[in-house]
Amino acid sequence: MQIPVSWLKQKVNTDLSTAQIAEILTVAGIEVEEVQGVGVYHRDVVVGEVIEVVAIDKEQHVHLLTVNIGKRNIPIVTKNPGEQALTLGAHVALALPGAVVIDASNETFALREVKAGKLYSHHSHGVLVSEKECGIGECNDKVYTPATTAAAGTPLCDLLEPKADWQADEILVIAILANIARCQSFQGVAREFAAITGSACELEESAVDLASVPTSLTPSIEDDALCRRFSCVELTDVNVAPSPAWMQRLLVLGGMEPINNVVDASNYVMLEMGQPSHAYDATKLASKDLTVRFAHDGETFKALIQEEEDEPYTLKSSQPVIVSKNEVVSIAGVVGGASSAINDETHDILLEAANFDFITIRKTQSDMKLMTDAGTRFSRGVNPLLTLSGLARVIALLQETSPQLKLIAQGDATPVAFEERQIELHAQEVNASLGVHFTIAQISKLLNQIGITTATDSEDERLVATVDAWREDITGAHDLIEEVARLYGYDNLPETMPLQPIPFHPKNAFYEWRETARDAMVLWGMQEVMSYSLSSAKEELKVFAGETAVPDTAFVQMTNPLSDERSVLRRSLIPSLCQHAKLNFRHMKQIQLFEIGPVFLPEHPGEAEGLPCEQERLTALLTGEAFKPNLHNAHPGPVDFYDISDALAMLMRHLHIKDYALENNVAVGFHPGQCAHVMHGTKCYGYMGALHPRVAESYGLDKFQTYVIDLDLRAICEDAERDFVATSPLKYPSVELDISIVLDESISAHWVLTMMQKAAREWWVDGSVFDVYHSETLGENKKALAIRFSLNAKSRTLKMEEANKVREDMVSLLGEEFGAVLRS
Amino acid sequence: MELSQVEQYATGAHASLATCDSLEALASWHQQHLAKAGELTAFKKSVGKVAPEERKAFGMGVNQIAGKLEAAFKQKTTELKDAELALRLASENIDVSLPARPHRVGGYHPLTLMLREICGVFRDMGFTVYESPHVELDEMSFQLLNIPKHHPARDMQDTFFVSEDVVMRPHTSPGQIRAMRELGPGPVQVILPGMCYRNEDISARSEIQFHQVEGVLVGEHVRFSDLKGILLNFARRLFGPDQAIKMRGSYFPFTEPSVEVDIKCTLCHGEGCRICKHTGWLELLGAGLMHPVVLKNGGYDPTKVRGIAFGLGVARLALLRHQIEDIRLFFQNDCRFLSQFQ
Ligand SMILES: [Zn+2]
Repeated sequence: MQIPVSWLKQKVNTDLSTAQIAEILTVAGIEVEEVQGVGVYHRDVVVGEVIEVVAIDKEQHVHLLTVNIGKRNIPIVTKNPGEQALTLGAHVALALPGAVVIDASNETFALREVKAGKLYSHHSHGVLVSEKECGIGECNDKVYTPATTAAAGTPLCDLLEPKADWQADEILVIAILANIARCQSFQGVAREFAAITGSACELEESAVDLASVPTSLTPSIEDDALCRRFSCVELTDVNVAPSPAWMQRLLVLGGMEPINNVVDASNYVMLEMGQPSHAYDATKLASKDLTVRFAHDGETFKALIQEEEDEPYTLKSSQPVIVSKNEVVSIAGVVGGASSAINDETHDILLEAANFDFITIRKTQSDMKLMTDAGTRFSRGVNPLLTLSGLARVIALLQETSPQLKLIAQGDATPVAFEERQIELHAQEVNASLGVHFTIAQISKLLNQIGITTATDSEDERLVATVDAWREDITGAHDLIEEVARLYGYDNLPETMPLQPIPFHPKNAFYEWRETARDAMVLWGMQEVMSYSLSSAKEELKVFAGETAVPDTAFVQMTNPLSDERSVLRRSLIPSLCQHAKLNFRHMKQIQLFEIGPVFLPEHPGEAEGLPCEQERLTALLTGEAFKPNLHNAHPGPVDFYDISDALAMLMRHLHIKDYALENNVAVGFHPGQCAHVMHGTKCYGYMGALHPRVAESYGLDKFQTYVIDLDLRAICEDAERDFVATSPLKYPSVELDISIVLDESISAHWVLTMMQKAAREWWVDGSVFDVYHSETLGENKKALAIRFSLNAKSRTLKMEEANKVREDMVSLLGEEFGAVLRS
Repeated sequence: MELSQVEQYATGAHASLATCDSLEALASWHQQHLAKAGELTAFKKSVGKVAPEERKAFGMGVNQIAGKLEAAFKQKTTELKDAELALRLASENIDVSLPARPHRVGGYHPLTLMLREICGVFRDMGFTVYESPHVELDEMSFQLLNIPKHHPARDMQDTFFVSEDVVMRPHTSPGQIRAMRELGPGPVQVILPGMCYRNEDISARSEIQFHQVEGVLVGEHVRFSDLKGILLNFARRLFGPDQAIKMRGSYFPFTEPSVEVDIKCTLCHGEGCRICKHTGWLELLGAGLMHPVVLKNGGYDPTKVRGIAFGLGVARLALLRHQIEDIRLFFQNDCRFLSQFQ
């Protein structure tokens, strides 16, 4: 919404500056996004000082000037600027690129934006402008040369005293949020501004009196839900001509283009009052009794904004239309038809103004991808009381240029009654909601400012507010409380800390353990990353290493994706980690990344019917060199499984999960011989190991083996133990022994240690493999493991004979279970 | 045996002690002279060969000589050890400015740090963290929040749709309804951190995915002024004790009244600069009193219970704090950028 400040100041009595007006409106929720200067008000229309003059075309009086604008000097090409402007040291009015000035070459009021460019084959970084182009006078045959001592570069408007007859103006550009549809007009904004500032405001405008016009038209509405009011007036002896200059100017400043007096009057009333209307050439209508209805599927319609060669629109039954007999003459509330459009010969006119259902108009606009000023207003809601008064105003404006016009007939279909509402409000409600101590009189006074009348009962500290029908946004006490807060000023309300005691909420244990898990990964040396949950099926499927049995339904799919790249929800964090690894390999060789976040599994049930399962995973990726080559270790080797296994150990230590086990197993996307299931009893937390070389290669990670941990974090956090039992340090020394056994390659160290622990019973402290040895001399598929373990009797010193006995028990148990023999 | 013989011997021993130039030489000297089988012991044993009346004087004399030799030996030992240490120290000088031995250094994502800080401030004020799904019902994301289908307020964000009734949540507000329904009907005081999704072109200023933290306080004694107090406290904890907030009227369908809350520009402290477009203020968050419809959908009687709600963008605060110009850096995950945050 664009509002010329000159118009606002003419209607509302105020001494405030434009900046102050913008601030006041913004604070009250009517956000002024920008103040646009036009002509002299534009900050890029400045005073320049001519410091060099070179004639480049004497015949045509073209000169190249060098003009000082304070910060620097710029070249300006100018033609016939007048003698004064060609004098060295002259002060000239200069519009820099980006400035919006009045287009003096146009017969009617128009604006143009100054651009840098080449003129007569010389660069010109702006243009010298006349009084007329600045919008401060009529003179256009020479460049305006202000008599001033101001420094070069000073904005011209800072030097001049504004005058009421200036064509130049400032425009408030207002963002219309859904709750201030009432501000979609000059008058709407003026009314709000006057109310907030308590200023006097005169908004009565001339309008014709329709009382004596025969009500012989019968406009009709087929569906009450579609249209709440539909009014028509028929005119004759209309003379189509240009509209008056003042109206053209306000239309342009309001963001519209002048066309002719009929269309302009209709558009101007839309800007001024907020009521869209449409004018039909009455002779081109089959019937003057128009009907509002939904279109019939397949009906066609040519809009007046379409080019001759354009295909007409084919309509759908969800789209509202206005028909004359059975011909569609308008898409209701959006655009009029080509067949009944006004032209220079038009003499008889049917004016129509309606109040359409905003949801229907919204759907239609987005359906047809057809945004018009009228449609935009309707889609936010228009005051339903304005149809006839809007038409009366259109006619009064039209009389300025077509004084002989006659009113033939009118008609008004009003299926819905618009009544004012009464709302009760207690001072206590206001005070308890806002944290203030207002009396009912104070509250009443604030509401009265915006035209809400109140009957107050000061004994009960309550009031009954009467709200005009058009304030459709005010339906209950909370709406009145908002108005009170807004008018009092949010910044004037007090700041308090809550009286409401902190409630008993259960602890969010998962949130806390997840942060602990994050700490553990960072502590180990992993860099956390964050990726898009939105990905592409192509990237995601690479993890499956060419396995084709992935159903289409594997992914949660967007119906309106921004791009293919971001069209499905990820099922794994591995693809994005691989991408980040590849990116970072460009400048480093040590890749240690992890991410915590959800993956989306549509085959499992989610939080509610229709939602996918969101599984929070912790995924880490390790590849490249173990660390940066440095003074102390110039040749770090590549990371391997046992590095990532250590990262897992760090995680488990932080969550106090001691008895997890790594079992050799396979998983999709992993190297079949270097993959572990991370087990806790029979529960599998996830997988860990080397990525399958084919998978790694598909992500461009082929230089080093890539290792990944991929875990269901929620499953792990469920087992995290805060209340673990702490043990005291052992009082008696432990006995440390080695054992070296030969056994089948397939038997994992984990099982060997489990058996050893079993044999040692309660004397077991810990044990670890310190050597693995392969040799043909051991036998086929055999390996030798050397294990160091310690034993402790806890309550006394363990005797060496006892320890050796345990060692013998271990050997025999390992022999029984795995056929292991002591290595000789 | 004469004492003079012993004295003559001692003079020789002292002289040879003086020539010892290493701890090894010293040890062999000790072996020769002072050890049990040494020469001095031999003298001591020879007391039997001395005339009986001189034995006492001889014994005392030998002991005196032995004491002197012992003392000289100790002193020589100290001297030699000191010299040896000084030599070792001199040989062990290092250049302390050479690179340290590196360990793996991990780090948090900057948005994690910002989220933790924000959540920390609100947790100090008694808010509990409550999380809800990323993929949400349209009903939860819009309808129950007072945004019916085709409502103009749907223009405020472009939403990713999974189906007609399922969306990627465009804000964390569905959590308001879920939290009220789960934790009500008593008072509720939660923050809802989480990733949100909007179907917008990605640019330096806008991302299709971003973190929000929303706060909700519901109860019979909740007031708009509490919102101001909580947010002022938040702004000061995050950006310093001199912070101030400013409220502008605004519109969100789920709050009424709705406000935009600004803080003093963190860069120019209110003087006006490029970042704050010369206003001295920066937009921090949106907030308001919860709309009666939302309270009702949460399971409350809006005539008895009120709520305040506020929602802020996490990336925006991180951008401000570290003067980062491009929001896309957060999801590019270039370690050269990330590793600064630790
Ligand atoms: Zn600033």
